[in-house]
Amino acid sequence: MSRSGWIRLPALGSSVEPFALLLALYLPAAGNATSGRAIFEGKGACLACHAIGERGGSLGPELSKIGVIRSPEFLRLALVNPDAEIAPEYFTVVAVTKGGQTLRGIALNEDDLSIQIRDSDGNPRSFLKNDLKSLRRERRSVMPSYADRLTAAEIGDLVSYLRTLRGPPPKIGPRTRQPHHAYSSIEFLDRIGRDAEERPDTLITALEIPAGATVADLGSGTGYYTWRLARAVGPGGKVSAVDVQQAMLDRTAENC
Amino acid sequence: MTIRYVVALASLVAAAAWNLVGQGLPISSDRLLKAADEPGNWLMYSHTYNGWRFSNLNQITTANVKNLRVKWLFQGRHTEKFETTPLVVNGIMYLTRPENAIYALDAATGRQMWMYEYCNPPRTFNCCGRVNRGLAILGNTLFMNTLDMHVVAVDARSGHEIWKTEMYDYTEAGGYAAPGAPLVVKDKLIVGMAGGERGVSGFLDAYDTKTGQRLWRFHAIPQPGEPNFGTWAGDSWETGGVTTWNNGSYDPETNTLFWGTSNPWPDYNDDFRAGDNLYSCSVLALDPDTGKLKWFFQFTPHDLHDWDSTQIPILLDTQFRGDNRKALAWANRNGFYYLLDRTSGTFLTAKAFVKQTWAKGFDEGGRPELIPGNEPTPEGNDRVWPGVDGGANWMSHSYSPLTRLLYIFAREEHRMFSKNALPHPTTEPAANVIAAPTTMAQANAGAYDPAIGGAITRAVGTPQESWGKVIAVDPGTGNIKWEHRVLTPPWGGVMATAGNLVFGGTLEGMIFALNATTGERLWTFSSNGPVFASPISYTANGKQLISIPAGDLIVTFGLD
Repeated sequence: MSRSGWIRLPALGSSVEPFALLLALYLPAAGNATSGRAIFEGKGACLACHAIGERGGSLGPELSKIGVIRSPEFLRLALVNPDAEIAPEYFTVVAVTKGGQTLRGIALNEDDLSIQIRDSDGNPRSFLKNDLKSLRRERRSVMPSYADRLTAAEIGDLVSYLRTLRGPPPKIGPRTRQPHHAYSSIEFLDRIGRDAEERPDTLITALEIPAGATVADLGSGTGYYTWRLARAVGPGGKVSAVDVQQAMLDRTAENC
Repeated sequence: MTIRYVVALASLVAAAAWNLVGQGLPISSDRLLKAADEPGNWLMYSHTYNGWRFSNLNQITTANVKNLRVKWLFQGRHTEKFETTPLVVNGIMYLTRPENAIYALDAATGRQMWMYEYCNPPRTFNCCGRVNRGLAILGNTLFMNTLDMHVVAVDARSGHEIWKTEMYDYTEAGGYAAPGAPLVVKDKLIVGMAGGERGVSGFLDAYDTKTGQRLWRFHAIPQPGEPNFGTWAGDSWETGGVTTWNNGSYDPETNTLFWGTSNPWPDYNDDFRAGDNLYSCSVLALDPDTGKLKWFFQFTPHDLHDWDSTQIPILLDTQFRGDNRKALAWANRNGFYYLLDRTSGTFLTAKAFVKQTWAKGFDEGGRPELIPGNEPTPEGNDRVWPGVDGGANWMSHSYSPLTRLLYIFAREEHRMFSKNALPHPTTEPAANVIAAPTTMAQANAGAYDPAIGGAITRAVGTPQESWGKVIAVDPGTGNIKWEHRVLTPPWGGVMATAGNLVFGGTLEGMIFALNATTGERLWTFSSNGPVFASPISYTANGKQLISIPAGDLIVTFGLD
C-alpha cells in the first residue's frame, strides 16, 4: 500500500523565501534574450563553432543546455576572456607536420602513437606522431574574445539568450502510476553509475542554492537528490522530500 | 558406427582425460612452490610466490617481437572492464569476468569450455567498479572472492560449485567487498577484502581449501588489548578501514606470508583518528599456519592521501651496500621505492621514483620526515605529489632475474586533495549536516563524498602535468636505469620475460613490448580498450602466448 507523505530532513528554519530562489533560477539575467539570439546567429557568428542541437559547428562545446550548467557570470567571463576558465579538452593543439604544415584545433583523442584533431575549419584529422615535427598544447581557447567585438550591452543580451538554453522540454506521454513497482524502481534510482551519468554535485553547484534556503524535492524517489540538497542548504536551511510511495520515503530515510 | 570406431573414440577420450589429469590437474601445493619450473603454465596471480610476475619463456624475443600478432580475442560482453589475471593449466585458461563469473577457455583459441556465474545482489559496495582480479587453484579446485564477501570453490573440470563461504556481512558499516584474487599457501586459501572508503574494519582470512571453513582471521586494526591498539584515538579503530584488497606473496624459506594494507578511514579527514593508525598503509609479515603477526612495516603513518600499501610484495635477494640481503622490494603508492629486509622487516633504504612533495627523508627506522603543507584542505590543496591514485597502485610490478631490474609502471599525476567537515561516525545521522562545496576549486575537486571526509579528487592542471612511465629500477639502490614515458598515468601492470622484454598496456589501450635492457619500444598494438590489468605469458601447443585484458576483451598474441 502506498500513500503520499512527507519526511522532514535535518534542517532548521529558513531565512530565504523559497519562491525567490525559484525566480532567481528561472528568470533571465538583465539583458534582452531576443537581441542576444540575433547576435548569436548573426554578428557574433557563434554558430560557426558552437551548435545548439543540430544547428551549428562542432569546434566548441554544444550549447543547448548551457543555461542550466553555467551561471551568467561564467558565461560573461567566457565571452570576454575565453582563456580564463578553459577545460583541458578545449586547449589549443598546435601540430606541425614533417612537411612543414601547421594545424591548430582541439584534440578529439590521443594515445602514444597518434592524435586526432578537429582543425580550425571543423574537420576531423588524424596524425601518427611519427609523422609530426612537433606537437604542443597551449592553455588558451581557439575562441576569440568578444570584449572588443561586442558592446557591454550586446554581451548582456547574449548572456541572457544563453541563459534561455535549457534543453528540449521533457517528452510527456501517457503514463500509469505503478506504485507496486517501487522496489524495482529503487534499484534503478540507486544504480551504480548514476553519479557518473548525472553528475549530481555539478548540478547542485550550478543551481547556486544559497545556504539557509528552503527547497522542495518533489517526487524525491530514494532521496538521491534530497540529501545532496540538504547539504547544500546547510544547517540553516530546509529540504522537504515528497513522494507518492511510502517505500521511497523509507528508502530516503535510509539513504542519508 | 562400428564397434571398432567406438573403441578408438573411447581410447582417444581416455587419452585426452589422461593428458588432462596426468599433466594438467591436479595442482599440488608442491607444484605451486615450484611454479617457476612450469613456465608454460600460470598457476597463481603473480605467477610465482615471490611476486615477480616474470615469465621464463623465451620464444618471443627482442629480435622477433615485431612479428607478434593477435591470435584470439575473448569478449567479456559485460559493461564492466576486465581487471583479472587469468590462470593457465596445460592449455586451459581459467579467468574471471565481471562481476563474478569464471570461464574455462581453450588457451590456444579462446573457445569457451564451461562457465560458472556467481550472482551478486543488485547492490554491492566495491569502491571502484564491479570488478574481480582473479582466481587461485589447488588440486582440481578454483577459488574466487565475490563482491558480496563470499569465497566460492568451483571444480576446475566442470565449473560446478563445490562450496561457498560467507566471509562477512557485506552490508555492515558502509559496505564490505572482496574484489581481489585469493592466494593458496599450502592447504590454506588466503583471502583479503575491501571497503577502505566505507568505514569498515579490515582483516585477512585463511580458509580450509577442502571445506571452506575459516581457519584464522588477522584483524588489520589491533583489537582492544592487542599491541598497537593505542595508535587510534578514541573509538576510531572501530571504523578505521585498513583493508587487504590485493594479493600477497609467500616466502617458503621462512614460512612467511606478506600482504599489504590499505588506507585508514576517513581518507582525507583525520579529526577523529589521531595516531599512527596501525596497521594501515603497511606490509604485514604473517605466519600462514596461524595468522600470527611476525613483524610489520608502516610505509605511511597516519595517511591523509589514500595512499594504500596494497601493492604486490616482491621478494628478491639483492646486494645492498655490499651485503647480500634477503629483501622485500616495494614501490609504494606514496611515491617511494622501499627496500626492507624480509626476514626482520628492517628498513634498508627508500628513494622516490616519481615526483613527491611530502617527505624530506626517513629516520633510521624508515619513518618519513614530513614536509608541512601537504595536508588536504577545505579549499582544496593541489600542491601535493603524488596524486591520490599514487606513484603506483594495485597493478603488478615485475622483476627479472636476468636483468636484475625491477620494472614499475609508474604514475606521475597532479591531483587536488580536499578535506570536508565530517560527522563523527557514532553521532545520529540527523545531526550530521555537512557543507557542500562552496568554491569553484572544491567543485572542481570532483565528486564530493562526505563519507571519506573530502572529495574524490580528480586530475587538475594541463594534460602535460600528468603522465605515465615504465621505469627499470636497480633494486639495491632504487636508482632508475631507464624510463619509458607514456601519455597518461597507467592502470595496467607489467610483465618481464626471459625474451628480454617487458609487456604492458596503457589507459588508451596501446599494448606494448619494451626492450628490458634499454626501455626501447619494440612493438605496439592498438586495442583501444583501457588496460586495467597485468599481462601473463604461457604456452599452448608448445607455443608462447601473451594475454592481456583491454577493456572488456582478453587479447592474446603469439608468433606464427
